[in-house]
Amino acid sequence: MSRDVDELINGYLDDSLSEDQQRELSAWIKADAVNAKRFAKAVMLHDRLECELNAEAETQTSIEPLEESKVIPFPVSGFGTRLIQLAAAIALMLTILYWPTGPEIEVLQKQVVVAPVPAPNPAPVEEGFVTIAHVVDVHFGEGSDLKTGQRLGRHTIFMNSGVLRLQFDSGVEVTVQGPAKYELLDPALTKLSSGLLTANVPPGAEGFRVDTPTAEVTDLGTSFGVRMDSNGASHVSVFDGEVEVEEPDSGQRKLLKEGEAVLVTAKDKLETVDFDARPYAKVLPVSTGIAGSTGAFELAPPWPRRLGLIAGDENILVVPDGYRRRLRGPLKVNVSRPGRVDSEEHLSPAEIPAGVPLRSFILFYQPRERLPRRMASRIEGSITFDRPIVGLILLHEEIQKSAGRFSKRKMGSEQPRKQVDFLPGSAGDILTLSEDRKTLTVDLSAPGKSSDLIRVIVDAAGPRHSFAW
Amino acid sequence: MGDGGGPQSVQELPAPAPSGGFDPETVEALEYAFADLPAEAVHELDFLQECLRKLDDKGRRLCELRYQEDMKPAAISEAIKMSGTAVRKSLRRIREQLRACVERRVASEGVQ
Repeated sequence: MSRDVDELINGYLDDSLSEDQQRELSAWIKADAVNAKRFAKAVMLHDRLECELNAEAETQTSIEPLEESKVIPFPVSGFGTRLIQLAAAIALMLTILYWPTGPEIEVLQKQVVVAPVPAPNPAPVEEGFVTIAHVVDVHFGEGSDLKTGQRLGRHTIFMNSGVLRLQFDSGVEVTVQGPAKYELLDPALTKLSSGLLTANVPPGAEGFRVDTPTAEVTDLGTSFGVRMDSNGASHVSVFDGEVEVEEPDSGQRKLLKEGEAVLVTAKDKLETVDFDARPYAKVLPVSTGIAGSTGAFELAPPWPRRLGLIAGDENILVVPDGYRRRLRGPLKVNVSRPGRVDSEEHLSPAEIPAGVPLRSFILFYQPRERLPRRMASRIEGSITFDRPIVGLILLHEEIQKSAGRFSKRKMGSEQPRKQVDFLPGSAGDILTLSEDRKTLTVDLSAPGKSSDLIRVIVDAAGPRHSFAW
Repeated sequence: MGDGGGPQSVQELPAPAPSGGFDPETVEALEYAFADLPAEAVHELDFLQECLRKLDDKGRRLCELRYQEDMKPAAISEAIKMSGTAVRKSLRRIREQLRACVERRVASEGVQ
């Protein structure tokens, strides 16, 4: 080794090696397993640095006003293509070690919305402060026949059945399951007299309150569920962040953190109970913007966060990833057009400009058994969102760069792992994006212990706006 | 589009170039290397966020340009009026500094 090896490694990380230097580095890596391990650790540090810094940038600017859109050229980086080759290696370790064991993987119900730009002259309450975002099989009660896109101010909603998602102007999202009676009192105060709801409250909208006949639930920046049972008791469960629950008559208060739950009875008792997300199973997909799914797709539960416990041979986990965000900077996607994608030639790379409000979902498949590729089975399914899919991120480089842009916590859980394989014949993965862009169908080869990760980017503009290409 | 302004369009981009870089034997050697790393190697990097806060202003700025702005050393050198060599050396030193910080934290607190 004629050169300083650290210089070569850092040159690789900074994409500044000549061909000779690249060959020299390659020879050094192959010469000794210790060398390869040293290089692997350097790449991991580099990847994590990128994740952490990008996540910081997104977090720091999540409440900034909409930027002017700007188009930035999409350079095809030699470094990126080299790293793609490393993806399988990195993935092998991270798939086995990181995702299943990561203690705080970003999971369901963190669809906290970026705080809206404050208007110079806030609209009066009479003009409405809530938009009906999505209506699923709702049979409304008297005087509550509501349509998607409709604006509401102070209003009482009666639902006999179905699920309804409401988008507050403050960024708060509430999803209600009938039968329910839910009153909108003002932009920060609502009341649930019967039924069940989940609420996602963004930074800047803390203090949003859901009252029930027995409790006052005040959000402290979080995602939570409230359910009234047939005895008139209120069940409060925290999916993420913190809420304060108060029993107004006795003045008892309790601060709840994620994974915790309380029951407030009609007899002024506030009791800690076990967290149980099952009663919210019907509401959770709607609250995240998922209209339906078939086949292997399964929504990851909000708790526990350890996906390794629930990933399996027969399901593709759908993990809503972090915040609904108005991106500060552009976001590169690998697929931007409808149609079938079964080879790299079918990719339609594009760059979504800054300022577009988006949601991100991770589709994650991790079989438990290791099987040789020739014995691989296939796993199939379709998932439909209530808003159009703006793009798919499939390749390692873009998956890595997008990590941390939607979740602010534990970005490392999104470090590079297995990307989809476009192999000829029956060993390859096939994706199809429908013409209306709302449905993604996947047909994956499942060779075992080789996980697939797809990031789906969905339009998150309000229901009264349409995405223009 | 959206709540902010007029329609925005997605920019169509050229397809990626064919892969280059390491030969298959090197990739295989790296596969083994990653597979052999202990689980702690990933979790140790949880300390990185804290170590980043200890960088001085100049180090922090270089990291932002390199990782947030995705600039290569040559572009960074033009942006901040340093020589390319100085930028490369500084980035190397910063990574070493961060690695050492992580290792110190692991030694004192262990891996969660």
